[in-house]
Amino acid sequence: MTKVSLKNSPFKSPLKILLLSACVIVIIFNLQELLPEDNQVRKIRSLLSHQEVGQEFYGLDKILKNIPTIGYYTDKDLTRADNNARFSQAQYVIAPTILDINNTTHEFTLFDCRSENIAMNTIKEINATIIQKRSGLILTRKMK
Amino acid sequence: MITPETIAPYLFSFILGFLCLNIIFQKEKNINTAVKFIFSLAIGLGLSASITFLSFILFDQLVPFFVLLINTLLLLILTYYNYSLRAFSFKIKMPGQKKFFRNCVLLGIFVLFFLPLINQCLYYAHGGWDAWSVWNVKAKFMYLGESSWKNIFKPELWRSSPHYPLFLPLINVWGWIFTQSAVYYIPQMTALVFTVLIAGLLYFGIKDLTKSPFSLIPVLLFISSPFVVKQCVSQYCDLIFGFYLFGCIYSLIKTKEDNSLSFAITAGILLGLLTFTKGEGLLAAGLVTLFALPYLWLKNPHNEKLSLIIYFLVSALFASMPLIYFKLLFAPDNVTFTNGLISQTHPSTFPRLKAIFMYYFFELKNPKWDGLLLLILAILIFHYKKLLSPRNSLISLFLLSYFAIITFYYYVNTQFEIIWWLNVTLGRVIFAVLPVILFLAFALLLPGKNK
Repeated sequence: MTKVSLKNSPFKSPLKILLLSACVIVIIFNLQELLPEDNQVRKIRSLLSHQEVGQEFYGLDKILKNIPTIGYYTDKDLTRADNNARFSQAQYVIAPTILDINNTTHEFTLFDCRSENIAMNTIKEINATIIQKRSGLILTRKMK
Repeated sequence: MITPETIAPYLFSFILGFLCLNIIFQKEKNINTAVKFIFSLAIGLGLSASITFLSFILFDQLVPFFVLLINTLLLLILTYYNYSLRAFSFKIKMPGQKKFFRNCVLLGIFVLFFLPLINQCLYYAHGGWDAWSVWNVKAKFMYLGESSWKNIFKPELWRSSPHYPLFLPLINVWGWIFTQSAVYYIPQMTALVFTVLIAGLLYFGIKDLTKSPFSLIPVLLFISSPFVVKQCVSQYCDLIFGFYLFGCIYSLIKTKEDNSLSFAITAGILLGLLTFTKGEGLLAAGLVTLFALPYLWLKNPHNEKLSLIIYFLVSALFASMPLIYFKLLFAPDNVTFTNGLISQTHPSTFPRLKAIFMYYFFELKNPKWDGLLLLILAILIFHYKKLLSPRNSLISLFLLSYFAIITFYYYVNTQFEIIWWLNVTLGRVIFAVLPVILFLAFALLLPGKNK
């Protein structure tokens, strides 16, 4: 028979038993929160394999290949988290091209405005040509 | 996600690291096999990322052929050295039937607890905000930008913290060399790999020091926490920072307890790599070095204590080379810093300091931690007498001074509104040192070879 030694066992001390029990309780609490989240993600994954980021900017990276910097014109409040996220996602998708915020002096400018009218007025002002327009985004190019 | 091209960079780096550790531990065989495997991958990825960085230093752009050539040459040289030193004599002890069954059960529990994390990792393919706004965007610039990769240091990209070191982006670029495009599943894989490394080191590290069968508990606490899972799948550098810091501290403890030159070298390498992870990496490495010197010197009866320190420092200096080059050649100034001590418009005020401490208090009982922080605090309080024992003092003093400096930085840097800033960063700061805190808490709680 194997001898079970209590010399190094945490069961010698009631405090250690208490703390180890608390660990088990925390693990159970964790699982109670984690498993429903996991189930939700599983359900979503059965419809969509993974979450996309900045999908509305997909394809622009191919048009802008080898262009180091373009302008990113927006009238949205970039201190707001959702607008800031949208800008950062655009930068992520378009990388390695830099998006220069509200600088319309570059050859290419991407307009991401609240309304098309605001964008069109500025496009007229800078005398640029629209080369792509989709889902609220307008990519323009200035004639040299 | 799991394709030969996805696994190849990690496997390649693992072999590199394994061959390195075989040489380092050639004379001393005191490293646990599982810990050796864990450190092999971590050191190997460090080597491969450093070689990738060398391409940017020498050619001002990524030259995949050069990176693969140097990695392969290094692999051949290390294989030759291993062969000539007969370092390949590697023994795996076959466990008895009972032990084998116990190990299978433990592995089963480990895998079961990992499933939700894997599921979330697969779904959140592009990680969290800072993954696409900081770390992965930098990796894309480096991989696709050719000679204009240095645009990542331009002030226009201040949102991506241009002054941050490049270790994580370089690991991903190394992976993309194999997949031949900037696919999302390499950063995903990196996050998964480092989570497994942390969990593995937590288990085997605590088991090694305490010999306790309860060593799995801290691992389960770690990977079952929804907040920790979120951080792990976010593809942030805090995970990488957390691993190298933990690995370095564990190795330093082993250095002293086993009087081991091999562990001193390993600790130095991990410390050097830690400096290249992120801004706080250099701070953490500096503090670890500061406390490691008296730790290795004082109450050490062995004659080789000076050698231990020298080996540790020299290997740390060698492994810090990527950071030194980064700082000398590329790193721009921190554009997100306003010195509140001298600023007229954004001064550091007493209410700001008060807000920081209040926030710390509320973070402890923040529901996102599910009581984990309170539990750890309770363990530390009940074992407060042992906190400054020789072994534990290294971690205790490090944590105390690290949080003191972080607090001071929150106070002095008035660039951001403090509540917003604490809200987005404090959880991550704690997460990054959580493996070390768990290690300390369970080394105290679980009896055994406690010192």
